[in-house]
Formats: sequence, C-alpha cells, structure tokens
Amino acid sequence: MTPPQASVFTEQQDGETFLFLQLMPPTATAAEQRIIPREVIFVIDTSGSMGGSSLKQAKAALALALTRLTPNDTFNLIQFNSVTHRLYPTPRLASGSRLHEAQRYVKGLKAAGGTEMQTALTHALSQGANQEASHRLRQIIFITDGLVGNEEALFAILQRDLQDRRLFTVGIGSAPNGHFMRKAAQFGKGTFTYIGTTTEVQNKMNRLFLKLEHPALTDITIQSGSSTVRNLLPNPLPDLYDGEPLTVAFRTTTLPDSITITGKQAGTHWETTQSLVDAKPRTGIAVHWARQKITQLMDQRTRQKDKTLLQQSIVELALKHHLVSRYTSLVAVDVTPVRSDAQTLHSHALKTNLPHGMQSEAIVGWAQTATPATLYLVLGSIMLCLTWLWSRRHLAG
Amino acid sequence: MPDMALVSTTSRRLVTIRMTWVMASLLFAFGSWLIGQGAWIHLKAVSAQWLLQQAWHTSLNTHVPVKPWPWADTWPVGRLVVPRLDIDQIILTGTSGQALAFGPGKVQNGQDSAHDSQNIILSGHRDTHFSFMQDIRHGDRLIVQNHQGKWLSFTVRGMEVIDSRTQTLPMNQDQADLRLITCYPFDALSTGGPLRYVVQAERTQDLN
Repeated sequence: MTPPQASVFTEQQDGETFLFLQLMPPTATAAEQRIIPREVIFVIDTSGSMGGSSLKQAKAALALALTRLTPNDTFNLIQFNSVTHRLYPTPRLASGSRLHEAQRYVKGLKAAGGTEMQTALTHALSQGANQEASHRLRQIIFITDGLVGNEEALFAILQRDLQDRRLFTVGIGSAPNGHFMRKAAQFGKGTFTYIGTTTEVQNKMNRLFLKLEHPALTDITIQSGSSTVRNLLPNPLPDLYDGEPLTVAFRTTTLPDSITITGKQAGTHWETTQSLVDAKPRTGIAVHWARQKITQLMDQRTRQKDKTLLQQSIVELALKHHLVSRYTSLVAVDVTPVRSDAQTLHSHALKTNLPHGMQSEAIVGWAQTATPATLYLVLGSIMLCLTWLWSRRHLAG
Repeated sequence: MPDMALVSTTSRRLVTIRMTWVMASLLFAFGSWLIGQGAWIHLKAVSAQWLLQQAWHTSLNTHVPVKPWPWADTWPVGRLVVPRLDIDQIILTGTSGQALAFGPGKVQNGQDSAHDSQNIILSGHRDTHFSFMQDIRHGDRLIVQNHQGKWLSFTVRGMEVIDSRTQTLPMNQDQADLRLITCYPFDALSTGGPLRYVVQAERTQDLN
C-alpha cells in the first residue's frame, strides 16, 4: 500500500506567502483495506417535491446502500416529509431479518407533504448518542432534493451536533438544491453525490460506498514546528477519501522550513513531514486562497448579526484579487444598444416550468382537472361525418 | 390508338375508387377510435364509482383504507353528496391523473385527517365527475362523509374563477371549509388550461 502523497506549491505576493497543499489518497487493493464497523443512519426525504422519478431514484439508491451493510454494522432509517418517522428508536445491528425489514420499509415509501428537514436532522444527529464512545465510523447518509428554505438553521444544527459523525448528502432529481447539499456535506465533513437519472444510481452509489467503507485519512491536521496551523482553508478540513484528492490553502507571513501532516488511517496514527524549502512556486495560488477565504467569510456572514465588517473584508479581498463576490462584480458596458431608451417593454406573467420529473400537483396543488374526452368525441364525430359525405360523393355516381 | 386510351382511363378510375375506399376506411377507423377513447373516459368515470362504493363501505366497516382493485394506487377517503343536484360520489385520495379518472380527489395537504376541523379541498374533472359544478348555486348544501363515517355539512358561499399561474391553493388554512375545484371554462375542448373554477363552501351544522 502506498502512503498518502503530499505536494506543496507556493506563491509570494506583497510580502505574504500563499501555500497550496495537495494530498493524494493512498492506493490500496481491496485485500489490504481493513473493514471498520460502521454506524449508518439513512435519512430519506419523502416530501411532495420528491414525487415521481426522484423517489424512484432515492429508493433505488437506498436499497443498494442497505445491501452494502455487513452484520457488524449498525443502521437506522429515518424518513421525513411534514412529519418524521424512524424505523427503529436506536440503530440496530444489520442482521439478515432486519435488512429484510428495512428493504420492505423502503419499498413502501411514498412522497407527499412538506419538507420539514430540521426534525429529521436533529433525530439523525442524536442517534446512538448515549452509546459507548464507539469505535465505529458514524455516518449519516442524507438522500434529498434539498428543497428547503431554512438552510442556515440546518447548518447551525449540523455544526453544533456533528461530533465525530460524517454527513454524506445524496442529491436526487433534475434540480436538487446544490448549494445546500454541498455546504451540508462540507459542514458534515463528508461528500456530496449527485444522481441525475435512475441509470446513474448504481454507478454513483458504488463510488460513494468506496468512500464510506474505506475513508483513507481522517482527522487531518497540519503542524508547523510545534504548533498547529489554524487558518486552513477549507474550514473545517474534510477527510481524505479514495479517489478524491484533498486541497488545502493557507497564508503565512513567515514561511516555515517544513510542515507536518497528521491524521488517522484506519484508526491508527499517521504522519508525514513535508519540506517547504524546495516547494515549487506557482501563480494563481493567491487567487485560489482568496476565493476560499471569501467563501469562508460568506459562511460566517449568515451567522453574524453585524455584517458590515465582513462585507468590508470581502470587498477588500475581492478587489485585491479581482474576484466576483456578493458585493463585487465585473461590469461590461455594451456600446451598441439595440433598443432605444424611450421604448417601453411589454411585460406579462409566464407559467412556471418545473424541473424535469417533478409533479406540479405535488408542489403547487393545482391538479389537472380536464379530460380530453370531449375533444375526442367531437373530433371523432367530425371524421365520421366527413367519411359519410365523402364516400357518398365519390361512390354514388 | 382509341382503344388504348379507353383502357387507361378505366383503370385510372378503378385506382381512384380504390384509393377513395382506403382513405374513407382509414378516416372511419380513426374517427371510431377517437369516439371510443372519449367514450372510454366516461365509461371508466361512471363504472369505477360502482367498484369504489364497495371499497368505501368495506373501509367504513373495517376502519382501514381499502383499495378498490388490487393494482389501484388510490383508495376511497370519503363521499360527496349534493342533494339538490342528485350527486353522490366516492372521493379518492390524491389528485393524480390515475385517481381523478375514477372519482374526485382529495388534495393531500400534509395534515392527517384525524381531526375534522381542517379544510377539505376536492378536485375533479370538469367533463366527468365535477361537470355538476357549473350548476351549483349560492346556498346549495354540500355534504361530505369523512373517513370516520361522520357526515359534515357545508353551505356554498361563493364561486370564482382563478388563474393557477398567479394564485396558489389555500392549503393550510385552519378554517373548516370545503373547496371544490375543476378546470374552467367547462365547455373548452383543449386540456391543460390555466383557469380553475373554485366553489367555496362554509361548514354549517352537522347531520347525525
């Protein structure tokens, strides 16, 4: 098994040094990988917006995920729409009969009602809380289209109650809320998997299972000398997963000679020391860092009452590195206007087109309440009349 | 060559007659098929109500939802009676196309229907079950039997035409009233229009 590989690049700008660290996951054959028992909480969204093909995909993904559990794993299933329902009060060992029961439960899921995610998330984050400080990998797999309005409240709960759990979001349907899913996975130190069509379920879920079953490196920290480097971006630092390199950016005024990367590999301590003396200089690292920094500030912004200070720092950063942000834009001025200023514009309402696969009656409530019966009857009668007239004219004489 | 000309004209006439027959038969077949389709929709709408009545009575006796036929994805959840218009229909759950083909559908507004003080919204096809809506007048009595078998009485207080593009369904009002919804206008040929005819009825004293 090759150990995780690290490479470092730097850029000097205005007396500051920007560092870019890339960590490649180790390559290991299946035989070398140790299976660590897991505690998996599946959460599935059965709100009205999941109706139709979305729920079909979600069910297929869930059914597949259940088959990957080993008898040493524990699991539970939570579904939510307007109300939340759990399969078991606490996670249970994944015995054959329990899995059978779970598969039946999944098969019976139906989509209706609203998206009350908060209770479901709280439930998922309180599962198994009073178990012995377990050696299990605690994972939450959250299958939803993420059509919620209270994202900030959900992020706050996630950050408060996550503990050593990892949250993996699985986005379903043609138009999931990508922002929510990505951020939730980021705060949950997991990953976001997007499944667009039913044919993708197998492929995408298999890739997710690899990550779930064999996290390459967890609890990663970076030390410079004897102290831990604090201002790492992204924050929190995610785990390193199979097939997904981890990139970290940070800024420093004094460049240390070396940094030490530590983490846990299959439960055991792992560390490597990386010399910075021969780190290769590259351009664009400062901009990458600034972009990450702005993202971090924007995440803080939602939690802070006084936003003027944050806005100031974002604008400052964005202007310095020529970046588009919430407060800064790149403006192009059109020198060839087509419409004269005096001309007025027409305006009228347009029908809202829903994303593919979503059923309007599940969202808006207006059902389709006309049948083509009358149209068929009228058209049919006209055709019969025509046939009669025509055959009379042509065949009589 | 007068003979040749004569033959060719006759054969051309024969071909024309045959073509006419083929065209006419095709037109006839397609016309009949369309009429069959139209009639089938009405036939389903009427005959399904018979099966639904059976299922409804069983479900009232056993207090569990009963599917009218094994492969149905909807089941009866109530009964709608309009005494003046001699209407008596079984209400289905959900407003999917599969449900509305067989009976008026109750909009699932997320709340469980255990308490009868929530508003009830029913949708139906304007050309089958809910075609009676055009004859509804102010003050008409509408009666709904809920899943517990309780009869709830309502009085019509208003009707309006609503544009579904700009207005949303009043879902979560805690007022205990009844709304009937169908497509508008009633005699339109095309489906999928944005207009809806809404009858609003207020809860009055109950029967039993």
